[in-house]
Amino acid sequence: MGKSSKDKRDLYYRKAKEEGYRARSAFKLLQLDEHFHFLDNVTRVVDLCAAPGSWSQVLSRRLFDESTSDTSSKRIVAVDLQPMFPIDHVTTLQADITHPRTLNKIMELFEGEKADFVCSDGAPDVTGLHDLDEYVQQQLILSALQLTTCMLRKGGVFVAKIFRGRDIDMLYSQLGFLFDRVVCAKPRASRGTSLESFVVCLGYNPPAHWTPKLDVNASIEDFFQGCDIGRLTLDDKLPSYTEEPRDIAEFLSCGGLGSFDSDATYHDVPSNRKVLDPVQPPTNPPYKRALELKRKGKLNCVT
Amino acid sequence: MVQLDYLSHYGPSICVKFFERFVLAGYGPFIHVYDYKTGELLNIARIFNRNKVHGISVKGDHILAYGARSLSVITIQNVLEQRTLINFEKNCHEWIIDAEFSASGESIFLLTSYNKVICCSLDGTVDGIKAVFGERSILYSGSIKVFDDERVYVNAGTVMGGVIIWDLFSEEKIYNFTGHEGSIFYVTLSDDGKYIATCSDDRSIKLWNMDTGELMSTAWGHTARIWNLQFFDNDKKLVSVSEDCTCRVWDIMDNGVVKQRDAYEVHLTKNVWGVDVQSSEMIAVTSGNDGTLKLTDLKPLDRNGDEVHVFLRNDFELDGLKLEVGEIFKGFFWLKFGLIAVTSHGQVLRYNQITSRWNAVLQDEKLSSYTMTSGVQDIDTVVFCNNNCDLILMKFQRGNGHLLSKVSLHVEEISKCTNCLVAFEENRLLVTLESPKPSDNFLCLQFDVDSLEMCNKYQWKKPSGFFSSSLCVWNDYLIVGSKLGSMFVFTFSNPQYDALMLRRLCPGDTITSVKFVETLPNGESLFSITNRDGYYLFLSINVPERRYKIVHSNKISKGFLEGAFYNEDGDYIVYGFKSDHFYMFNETKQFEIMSELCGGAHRQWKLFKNFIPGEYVLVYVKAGNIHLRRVHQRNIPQTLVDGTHGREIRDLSIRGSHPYRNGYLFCSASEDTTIKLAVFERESGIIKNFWTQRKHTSGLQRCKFISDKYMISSAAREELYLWELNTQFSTGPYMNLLKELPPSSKNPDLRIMDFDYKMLDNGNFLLATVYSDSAIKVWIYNSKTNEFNLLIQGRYETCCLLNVALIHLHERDILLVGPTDGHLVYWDISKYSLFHFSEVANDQEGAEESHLLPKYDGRILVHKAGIKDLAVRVTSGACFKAYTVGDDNAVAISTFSLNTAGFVSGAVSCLEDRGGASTITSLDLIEQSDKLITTSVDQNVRVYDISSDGLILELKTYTTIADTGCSAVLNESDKAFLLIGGVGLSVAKLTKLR
Repeated sequence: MGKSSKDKRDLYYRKAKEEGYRARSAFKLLQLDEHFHFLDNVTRVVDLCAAPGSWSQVLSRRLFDESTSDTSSKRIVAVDLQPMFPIDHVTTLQADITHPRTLNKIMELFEGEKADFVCSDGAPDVTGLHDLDEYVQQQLILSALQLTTCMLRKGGVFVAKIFRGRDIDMLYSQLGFLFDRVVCAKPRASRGTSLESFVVCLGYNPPAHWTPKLDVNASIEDFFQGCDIGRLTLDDKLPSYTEEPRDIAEFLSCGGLGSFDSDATYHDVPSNRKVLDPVQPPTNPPYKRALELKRKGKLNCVT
Repeated sequence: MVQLDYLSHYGPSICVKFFERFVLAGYGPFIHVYDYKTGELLNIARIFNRNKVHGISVKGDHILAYGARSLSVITIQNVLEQRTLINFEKNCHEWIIDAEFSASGESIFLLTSYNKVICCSLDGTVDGIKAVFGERSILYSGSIKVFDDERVYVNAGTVMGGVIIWDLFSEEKIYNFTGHEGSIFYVTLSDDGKYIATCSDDRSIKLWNMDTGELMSTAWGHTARIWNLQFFDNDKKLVSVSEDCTCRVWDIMDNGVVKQRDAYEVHLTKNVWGVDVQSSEMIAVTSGNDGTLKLTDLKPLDRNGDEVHVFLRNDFELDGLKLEVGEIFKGFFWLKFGLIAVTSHGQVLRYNQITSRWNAVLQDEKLSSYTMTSGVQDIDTVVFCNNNCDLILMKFQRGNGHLLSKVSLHVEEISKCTNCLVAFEENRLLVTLESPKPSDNFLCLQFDVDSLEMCNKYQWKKPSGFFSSSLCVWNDYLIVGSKLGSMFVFTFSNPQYDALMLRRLCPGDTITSVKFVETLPNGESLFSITNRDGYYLFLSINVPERRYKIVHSNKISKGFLEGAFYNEDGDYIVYGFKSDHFYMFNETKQFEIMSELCGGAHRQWKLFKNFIPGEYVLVYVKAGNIHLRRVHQRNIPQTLVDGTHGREIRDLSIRGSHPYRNGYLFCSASEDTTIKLAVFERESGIIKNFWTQRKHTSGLQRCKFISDKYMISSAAREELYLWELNTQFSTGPYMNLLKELPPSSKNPDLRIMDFDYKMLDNGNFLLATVYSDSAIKVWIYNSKTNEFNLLIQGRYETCCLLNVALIHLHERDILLVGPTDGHLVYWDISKYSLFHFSEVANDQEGAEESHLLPKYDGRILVHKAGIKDLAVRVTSGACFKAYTVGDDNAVAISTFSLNTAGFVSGAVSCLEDRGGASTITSLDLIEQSDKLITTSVDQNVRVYDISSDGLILELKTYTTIADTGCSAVLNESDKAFLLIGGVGLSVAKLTKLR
């Protein structure tokens, strides 16, 4: 989050800064939970693709700060490839979610017990090629899902960010093989003009015959080959064009009509207000060097 | 049942390939085949059911096309002859990053996004899967390089910035290059096996030594992400294309240093995805999101050999001429035989382009200080004038440049001359002289075009603020462009007649060109006018009646504008300066024709036609030397297909009232902040663009034709513009900004999300606008005063409003609004009797007090999230239906009626909550047949029958347009046309409607 004058345009952006959240997306998880209450009675939770950590902050507050019950057995693990600033009650792991080592580490922290809740708010950089961007996003969800299938208890909940594009109904269908109920939920904190939504998968219930197993040499497709969830499998011959199963998930809007509208322009922000500093400073982009060269007027160069 | 046939499609093209005399272009799920030398489209073959073609490999007669998880092995013959090849489509379980034939051509290799290679035979039988041990990081890029049956390398670029080079058959890692930051977007190995070139999110290109693994160099230059890289010219050069819309050519030096050679602006809005080079002819083909396939000449300066010529001082001495120290060039003029130049010492020199020799024509003291040089190419005449009002006219023999006649004269009427302009029309040579003294007349001399003898003299009183800067003679009138964006029309036959003064026609200062375009039978004449500050406009003038009207106005995207004209193809060509470059730009088709680094607008320069259609000569002086830059008519086309917006199209509107040139005019409003006015052809669906309007400064929300001559567009920053369309002229349709809706504050930050209108008599109309802060306003537009007056204003709650409709129902006027909260909210606004749509005083003057909109009369909850589109149909005197689609994937019909007491009530009468797998973004009604059409982001078009008041799905068909965002329908008696917009634009025909 930058220190810009987006405050008026986006009330959630300002609210996040006021309440000490690292990103406005914290309110998306809060609004999802407000509807589904999936954080009411959980002990072990995992936040995947967690950086900068606003969802972990929500988990920390919900499981610990606002808890009236005994917190001694509660565990929150946050995983990301990027380093994260520490959060109270959260164990952060800088690790690859596709690697078996990461699973072992989490199971170690959970003392062999399975997780009640796994979430992922991750999104890849977009290229502008819509089909590729959607594929990569679905691969990211599936890689979160493969780790989830290895550690979620039966009946547990999986929540992930999705972009509703061309093939989202294929993903719904596949998730339907693993969970009792799959809902597409749009929190009011997520802009109506954005394709972003969240898939809330309730009641983890994998096929009885299938044992998930992470392997460094297996791709995501390999991982799910044994589990009959309707994904294309590779046989000894490439199949002719086939339509994979599709299913439209139930849609829910959450956050209530009383909550702020992320598409609206609000006027009740005082014009002489103090601009709040962003909680989490922006990270260095890969093209930082190119920007520096451009600033110096030396972009056309050889190094 | 309804039938939907796609007629045409314009949109992202991800890959292009030269093959023999063809260009093969992956274009959505199709491959287009063009003869690139003629530009002829030879065939469009559908390759895949749904996926886009991302890459094409060729071996012998076979083509391997791949994209997403699809591939197809077909023959050149297939692609040239068949319309559909989807029966050949095969699927792979992972995304295919690259696909290649083996050296023998008997098998194929598929590199997948998880860095595995599936080896299979041409019929798809899998022979084996190859991979290197280790991490399975997902790839954004990769390529397979086949040298022979034993030597095949896989070059994989990961999202984590690594480049892994491995041997396919030994499955051994050769290198893991880690020098880049961010995702690797392209990696390619040269044909000679010497180098690997890579590019990444860090915007650099790196060259690696394949023998040693050493990084040879890192080249910078692109200002955004680089998407594609190819070696060409026997691996001596690299070509790259980028999100920054440029195509760059790089030299690979012997020491492995990569150095930028050229940069070409090839596409207008991001991104450029595909590139290939025909090395033997040095032509590049590029493709991008805008759907344009652009051919770029990589030898713009040395294809013919005469493109660039610089005359050094030494060249004159070799020809026996002497230029004194400090003697500089003061002017020049290009004629058929070559160039005439004048120096500060009064030497007139002649360059013959056939003999390549200079010689002296004249030495005249009168030309030794301040000289203005002009002329007329058509009559081989040059005109010199100094500030003491001495004129010298010289006429040359067309072929050899011999001096035929010369006339000198001194003008007494004015004391001093600071500006001398020349105009020519139908055997009339006219020279104007202007003095700085306001009391001096504006003088115009007419000369005989053969003898150069003066035959007429005209004098006009100078109006205030008159400074001549450009000239056009037409019939009895002399039209003079001036400073301060003004123009003056003088009458030859009646010099006493006051000049027609057209003041402040556009923002900015100097009018740089005035050109006659055409005349209508009613006497109105059309002129094209450019202004140095970047504005161009078309002005319709009826001088006898002293009336004029701006029919078109626009601004170029950047730089200074020096002139414009229609070329032989009817395309509008503009030229001017962008910082230190001179450029020519095809404004109709939106591509750059040429640019020349000449130092900038302050130089002495002139652009001349070069006596052959499409050929030009730019002459300028740089560092004291005369430079010639010839622009030749290209022997290959500039584009193979002209596309559309490079970014998402947010709204479409068809002018349905009248056909236009075998089709219909329509507007497209885009995220790229422009509006395009174009026509689609009824039979072929072929789109021809006319104008790209750049008035909006933010992403568009809506555009809508409200009558045959008015169109309204709205965007963020409270921009709402009323445009007037003019279709009287044969050169094309024109559109002019008539009025901007007044914003609510000086620094507007609201978005106008939607508007609706009701036409009244006399061209007036009511306009309802809804805003992102929940505000609602109703305006009346008065066509006489060209003013919007606010009638009603109010607010719903605090949420953003997405849709609005004005409904006239049985003497009642209803305002219906769709906010992001999924309700349909309504007000009966007829209680303000003044505002009865049918009774609004048409000649109401000035701003009336506006009324405050009270709390709504009622609302019904229809959708679980925002309503994306709304259509209303009055079904009987007391009843109307609202058709809505939403972010909640639902389609709904709500029925509203007036009860006997006159109160409105409504209820949802039908709801399809799985009307799409994702957001449904638009809906249209086909009036004559009770059909409802929706488009949604799941890339489906659905047609419902609504005759029974239910939603009966009749047709569901795929569209290749991603981010499907809008549609527009045109009803004809037995069929309808459908435009679909998003990232791209398709034209479809709906038949069997009954």
